Amino acid sequence: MNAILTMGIIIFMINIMHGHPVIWKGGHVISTTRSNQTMEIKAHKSISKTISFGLHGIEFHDSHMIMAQANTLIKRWNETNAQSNAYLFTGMGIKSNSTKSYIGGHVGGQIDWETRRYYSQFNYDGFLSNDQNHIIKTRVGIAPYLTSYENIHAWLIIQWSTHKRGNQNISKILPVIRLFKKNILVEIGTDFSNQHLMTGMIHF
Amino acid sequence: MRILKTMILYTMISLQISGMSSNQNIQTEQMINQKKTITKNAATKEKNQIILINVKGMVCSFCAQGIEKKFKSHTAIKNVNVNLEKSKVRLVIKENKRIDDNEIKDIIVNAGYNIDKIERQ
Repeated sequence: MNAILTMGIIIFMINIMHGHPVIWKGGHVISTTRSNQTMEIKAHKSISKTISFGLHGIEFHDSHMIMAQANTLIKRWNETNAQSNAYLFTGMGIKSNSTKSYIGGHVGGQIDWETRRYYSQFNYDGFLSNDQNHIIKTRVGIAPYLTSYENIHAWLIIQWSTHKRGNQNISKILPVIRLFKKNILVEIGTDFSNQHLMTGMIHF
Repeated sequence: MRILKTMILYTMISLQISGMSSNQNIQTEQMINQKKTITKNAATKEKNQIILINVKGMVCSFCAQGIEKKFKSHTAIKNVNVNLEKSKVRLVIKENKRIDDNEIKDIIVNAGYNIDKIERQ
């Protein structure tokens, strides 16, 4: 019941991942991602087609960080039937646990390539403060069917990720289903054991 | 003398007819020109009604949404249709309104994409 409720709340909040960290000038993105290791919420506004600013919150098991965030589209390659991007993420804020607060920062990057049929993505995120969290994520996906803009699009994705924190290193492989229609995206992933992922995004 | 008078009269009548004919020709020519102008204007107007744009990099709904949103906010655009399969955007232009190719290019580029081709129908 709790899992269903959590899923409902997450989907209702319409969360995001690093799908499109920068969009058109004046566009907004709100997103959140939840996995067993982290819970993230982001809200950004693109001030140009290459730069967006916003707020980024991430919760770990025993602490959380709230940051002012800047995303930069370093380069976009537009092809007739494909698009690829390189992004840089930077953030600065405060990390807090139950007893103390520290200054913290975020550096990260993303490279992706997609056509209407295939999709791939590589991410690195480093959260630096009194301790360090390094998250690496790689994805490949395929669209089982192609449909028009107005209909629901689906992607079947395999995600490999590793989260390194001190001596602890958690790696996992998750199958993920991504659904999106127009400006709303939702993802659900599970290894049918103890790992799950829920993510979503809205552009407006 | 009579013959001379007849010739003068004949010449005058001929000149009169010729003048009328010349006026008629001018009028006819003007009408043809007017008709040509109207046809040309109608053709231009019709030509600007629908614009097809081939967009490079438009591969997902989010891309399409950005482009659709930008064109919908333009005062000259009556309707926007996105065809993801063919990477095409179809614009229907409002009557007596106009959007030039440079403006279209700016909108697409500022949304983060590139233009392959613009066709006016």
